[in-house]
Amino acid sequence: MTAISEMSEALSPAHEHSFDRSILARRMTVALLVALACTSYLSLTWGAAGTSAFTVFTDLLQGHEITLRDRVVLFDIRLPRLLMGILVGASLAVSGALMQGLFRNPLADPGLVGVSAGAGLGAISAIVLAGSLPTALAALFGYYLVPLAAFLGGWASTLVLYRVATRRGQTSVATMLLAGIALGALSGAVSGVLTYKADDAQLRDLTFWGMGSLAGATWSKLMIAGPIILLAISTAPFLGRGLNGLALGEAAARHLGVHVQRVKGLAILSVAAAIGAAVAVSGGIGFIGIVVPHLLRLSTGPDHRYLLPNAALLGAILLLLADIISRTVIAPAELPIGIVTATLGSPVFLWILLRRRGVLDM
Amino acid sequence: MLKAKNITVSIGRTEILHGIDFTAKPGEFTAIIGPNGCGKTTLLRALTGEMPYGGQVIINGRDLSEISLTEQAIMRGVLAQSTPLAFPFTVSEVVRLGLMAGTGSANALRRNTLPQQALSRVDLADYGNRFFQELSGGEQQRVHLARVLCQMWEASHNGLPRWLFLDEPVASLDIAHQRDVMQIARDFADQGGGAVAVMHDLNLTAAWADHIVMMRAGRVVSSGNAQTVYTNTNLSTAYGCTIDISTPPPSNQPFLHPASVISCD
Repeated sequence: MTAISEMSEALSPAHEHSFDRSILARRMTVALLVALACTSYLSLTWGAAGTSAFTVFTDLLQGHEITLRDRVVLFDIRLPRLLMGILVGASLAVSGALMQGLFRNPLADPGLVGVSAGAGLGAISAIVLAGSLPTALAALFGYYLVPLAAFLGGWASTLVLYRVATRRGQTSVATMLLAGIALGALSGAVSGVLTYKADDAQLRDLTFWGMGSLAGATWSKLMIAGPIILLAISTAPFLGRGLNGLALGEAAARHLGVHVQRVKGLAILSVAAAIGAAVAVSGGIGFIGIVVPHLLRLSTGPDHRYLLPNAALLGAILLLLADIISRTVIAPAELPIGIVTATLGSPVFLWILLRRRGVLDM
Repeated sequence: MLKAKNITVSIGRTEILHGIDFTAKPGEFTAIIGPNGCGKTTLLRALTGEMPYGGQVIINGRDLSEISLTEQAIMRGVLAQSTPLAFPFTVSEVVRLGLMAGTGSANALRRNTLPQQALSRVDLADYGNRFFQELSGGEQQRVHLARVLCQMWEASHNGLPRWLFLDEPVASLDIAHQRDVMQIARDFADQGGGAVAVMHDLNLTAAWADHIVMMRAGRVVSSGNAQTVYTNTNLSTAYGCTIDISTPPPSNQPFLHPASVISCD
């Protein structure tokens, strides 16, 4: 009903002379859903093992037996990897959009301003120090220890960053980026010390984890990270309106009835949880959080009510595409996905910087 | 009625406002004047709950601190001196943000037409699809005024007056648009709402405001209509100078000739 009345509202004559980007944004959602379905299919089909998802599905539908090899490749390797790619891509892009809305700046990205590094420090601490925890405590958290520690690391970094970079509701871009460098360096240094202390088994864990890859996706990891990521990005619909108000600054947002502290607190928690979970399962994957919201703002405008859901979809699509590239370019070996996203993403970041050079110090 | 009793505001250890009593009536255009740094904007921020304050602000019979933000957004709109905008919103998207406050069915029915009406009211009817950041400072200020008008289109709500707070609304405007904005505040008051504006231009204030509150160093020097407030004693207390006061036609309101400013401290 609401959707229909919204549509009729959008199509009413009052809009004929005024170009309304919200219609475009809603069409974009539909297009992205279709694109995500296509990309998911590609991701299931393409891989080092020549298993065709299409053949397997038609065989299954027609009641034929499928080989154990095909079953393993499709359901135990490619499917969890696909779902992990969707969740991680969505959480990176939504976190980027949330942070940019919170800091009122398109350059705020969890990877750039040290939040991912903080989450990484949390994860590394958990991997290396888990052995020295009381057994009961370690057992209590179980597999959730690493994502929980990553969440705490990400949350602490976001809070520190916000306190340092924001004064009277206005964020200084230069301070934000520089504080991000400092936070990232500090997290990196402590992570380095922890790595030095790690034993051989822990080092293998760290190396595997630190590559920034979806290759480690398993159903058990998915069961741990999935609910956290879903919960974190499900707050986004409640934040869209508030972040739109916040684009006018904290005072003006308040005058429009936005509960500024509530919006900020929820956004920071969501970013920390989404980034914590994503970093815990896939390591640091950069640039999705900055490229996706930027492309969407260019095409359909900055309205967060549409930006956030569309970012989740486009983030998932781009990460799946990067994953497909990472595992086919030098097949049968794999390129770490972080390398692919950085190669594609850093030129876009430089391009944003070039376009904004004049207003960077506002 | 808007009543503020014994308002004090401190920033850090410095007290900016020292116990201000302030009253604004619905149906009137109230102006706050005074020299730079005397606390006009701070007073406005206290009245709108933007700043922590000591004392009491009563708006439509209720204590401001007990009114929810959502209700406050329905009761009053605020135009700040400047409102920097993040992200490339178009002009009509900015104006639409004013609808966010949500005033029930009256606005819901008119969601599509109101932003355009508000833009026409500030003489920016054809600017809806332009990007906000591309406009001049004065035009941007008028877009924000349209946004506030969108929020406060009717001057009353459920039989209670609404309030329009404007902080130096004409500072960056040309003389024609200064007049437009003054007329908007005037009309809002004439329709039963209350308009409260921080002003710098004393002549513009005399010509348009019903009630004038003159401040100096965090205290009220004088309040009343232009004839009461614009005296040589008050002007020299507030601004530290004497100015020739005449009452020329057509308004016959006090007029201060800029060239007559003498013996400033």
